[in-house]
Amino acid sequence: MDQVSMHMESTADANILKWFVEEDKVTGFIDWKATQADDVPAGVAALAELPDLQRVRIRPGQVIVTKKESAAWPNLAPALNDKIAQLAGLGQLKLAGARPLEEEIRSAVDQLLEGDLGDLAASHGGCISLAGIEGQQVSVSMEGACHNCPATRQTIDRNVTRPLTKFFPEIRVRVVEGEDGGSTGNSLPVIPTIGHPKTRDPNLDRIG
Amino acid sequence: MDAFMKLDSLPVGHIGKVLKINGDREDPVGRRLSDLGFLDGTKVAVLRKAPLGDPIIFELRGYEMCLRHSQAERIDVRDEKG
Amino acid sequence: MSCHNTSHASECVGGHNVRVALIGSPNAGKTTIFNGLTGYRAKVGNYPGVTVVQTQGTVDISGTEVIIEDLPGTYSLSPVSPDEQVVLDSLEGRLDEGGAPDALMVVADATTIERSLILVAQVLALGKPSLVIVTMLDELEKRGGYLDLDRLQASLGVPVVGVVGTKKLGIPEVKELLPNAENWPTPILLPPADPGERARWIDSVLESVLHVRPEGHKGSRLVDRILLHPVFGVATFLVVMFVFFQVIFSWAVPLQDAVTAFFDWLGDLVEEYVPWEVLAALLSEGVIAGVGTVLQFLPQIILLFLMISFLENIGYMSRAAFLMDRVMGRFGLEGRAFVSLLSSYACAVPGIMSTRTIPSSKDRIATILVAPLMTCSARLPVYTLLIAAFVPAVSVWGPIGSQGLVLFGLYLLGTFSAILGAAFVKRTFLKGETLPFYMEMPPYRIPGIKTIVAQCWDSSKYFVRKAGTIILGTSVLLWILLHIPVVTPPADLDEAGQVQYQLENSVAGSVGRFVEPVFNPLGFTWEINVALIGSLSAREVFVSTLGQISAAENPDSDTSVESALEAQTRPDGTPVYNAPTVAAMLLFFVYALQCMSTVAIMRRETGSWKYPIGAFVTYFCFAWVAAFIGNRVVTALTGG
Repeated sequence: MDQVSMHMESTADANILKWFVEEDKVTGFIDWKATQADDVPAGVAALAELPDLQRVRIRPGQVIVTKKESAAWPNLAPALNDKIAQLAGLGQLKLAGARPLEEEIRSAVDQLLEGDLGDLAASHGGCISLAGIEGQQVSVSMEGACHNCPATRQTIDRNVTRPLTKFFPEIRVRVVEGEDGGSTGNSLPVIPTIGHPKTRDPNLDRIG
Repeated sequence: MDAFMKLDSLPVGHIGKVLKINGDREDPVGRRLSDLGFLDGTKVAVLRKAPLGDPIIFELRGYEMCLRHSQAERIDVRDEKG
Repeated sequence: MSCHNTSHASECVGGHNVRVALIGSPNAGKTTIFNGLTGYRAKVGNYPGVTVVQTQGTVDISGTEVIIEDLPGTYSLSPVSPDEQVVLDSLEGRLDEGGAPDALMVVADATTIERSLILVAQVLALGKPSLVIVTMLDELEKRGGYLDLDRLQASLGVPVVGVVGTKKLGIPEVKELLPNAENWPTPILLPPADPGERARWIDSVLESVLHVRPEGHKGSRLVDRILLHPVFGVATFLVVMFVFFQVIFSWAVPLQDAVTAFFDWLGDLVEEYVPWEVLAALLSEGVIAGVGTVLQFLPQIILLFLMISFLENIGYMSRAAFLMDRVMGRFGLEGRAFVSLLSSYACAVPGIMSTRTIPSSKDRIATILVAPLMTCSARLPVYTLLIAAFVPAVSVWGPIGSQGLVLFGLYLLGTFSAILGAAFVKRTFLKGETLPFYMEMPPYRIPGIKTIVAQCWDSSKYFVRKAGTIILGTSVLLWILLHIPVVTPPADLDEAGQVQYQLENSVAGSVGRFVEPVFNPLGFTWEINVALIGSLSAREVFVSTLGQISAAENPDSDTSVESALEAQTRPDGTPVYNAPTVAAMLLFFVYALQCMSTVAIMRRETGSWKYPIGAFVTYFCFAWVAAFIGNRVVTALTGG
């Protein structure tokens, strides 16, 4: 069993804890809820065996756990920590090929657009919104001052595509015109993320 | 390149990667060395030795720490040159 | 203790207090934080039984009394010595004194965050309400490093405040959080306790806070290439030592003379204007002369503390200790003990206080035990007087005279005795501690003047208060004991004889004569015995007492103490101060622990009477034997 470099963070929701695990130990996507027990990979199932869990989500480098309202963390969190360390060490949290669910992508994009980028657009008198998700294709629309703005491409590139591809490596982002623009969307090429931590987007790990 | 040696015999200017701390890990010296940051995989550079050869100043984890030979010899390193 | 009902907040005013412990590794800027929070007002306390000093400061923040305990700097909470055990015990409330702290503040140096997080993890693992203070952010940025504080807060699960001590940034934020310290969060999941797991936890946190390690401190590296160079480094070291002694022994002299002159003037004033003769004598000879003798050394002490504080804060003391470690190691001590012994040349009190930087309890006690053997400045007046009066001033070789050689010899004797003494105690009853030697080499930093002045003031204040009260007390007491009971001398004596009769039959005189059998073999008379007893308060009192007695007995002779001493005779008509007696006196002063301030500080710093009493008795025996041998050898040499 490998030793795993990891730590836990709490989130705004008191029922949700998030474990950050070495990226090559936890890969892929899954959203496990108590209600849908079929087709769950062995590692996730083993994790989900712990009592009082509402939901377990896995993203590259992250394990996000929601407990039941009635349960308390003090006993649960250490048990989870040990279990995650064990499973990740055994390589059981590598979910090759697992694809992000639309809901995951939607919440990630929403968070990006509501964050600094939204403020930026608003300060320029514009508005960027999610137009739709089809498979791995995300469409955003630019309205108001942003419409036809020459900086659009660069802005979307840096503030949407790059952070998203970190988590959803196969995703594509395209810009669709606002109400009056029709559908001449142009798909932006994906720019690979650079390993240097300073270039990582501050909002990246906080998605979701 | 793959020379295993004790940290105190690593020449000045070389960098060693900590392989392990010898002896009882729970004795005061072993425990303190790991609390000071001499942990498996940590890179330790030998900066300089005192005029009489002892003690030795090492750089590790972004700071400088000075140890005597008798403590440094507890640490096995792999010489990774400069 | 806490009051959660905010609607009745007014009831809490005055009654509410919070105890917060301040933890951090040495050089992390803990002192600056402590001073910033408490406004340079701190009171020093001590843990019973062990050599750990605890400083405590109290601040009133919007009606809440916040008690901040400044714990000794430490790299780790897993104790490897009794001292460190005390730190942990106090954090966990196993030591009495008000129980466990309500909350913990841990200081982490941003430039060495990789190591600092080890201590942070250990503190958080205690599961108490905690706050992390990150220092040296300005230096981190200057050296191209990076650390995201918001993310650090999220990763650690407790509040994180960045502080730039020199610019006072962040201190107000900490102050704002302090009154509510009991309600600071504890992490939901405690950091791992196993060193390996903890290391991986730290790696993960570092990744998450986007840590970029700062470049090495280029300036420090450059300076160290010279200051730690086998040749230039040692040369610089010798120059620093030379300047050090020069400052203590030469530059301080004019200031000392000024203080002496002031008290002489004050004494004359009192004698002139205080109508009642006995009171005037008590005031001028007892109070003013007594206090003056101590305060005369204040300039020296202040200069010493200033230099030590400066060298310490700028980062040179670690380098000096590094250069001297091998030499000190030969004698069972470590490099940092050198710094303490060095200070003891001025006064053993600050020397002993500075042993606090030595992590090993046994090394520390060994250093404390031998520090009084270093020739302190209070011995200087005694040596100077006796040498000037009784060692012939002949040139031995060129400008080097016999008087200078004797003085130098006494210094060497003291120093070697101290070092050999340390080697002895470390090989015998302080044997067998396997605490590792480790010492951080901090980057050179320009110290804040306020910090230096505050440290200097703290140390000097103690010296003045403690030594001042003790010496003032003995001085007055001795004066009184020399003058009571008032006896009626036989009428056939002349004036000088009458004074001598009074002194001889006073309480002090009786004591001096009572102990004569002990000191007779050394050639000491009852007058010397009285002076010796008086000098227990402080060695320099020896000079003034001898002067007082001799002058009283020989009112006709020259006013200088030297000539008064020379004129003293024994009942058989031979001079009191012959060569064997003077040699015995000098040797006695090399070894004897004639200083109650030192005994008191030994008690405080070791937390027990065992060591000071043991040292006092041992050194008395040593002094007696050395003086006896000296007396006999000189007698044989001079053919007496």
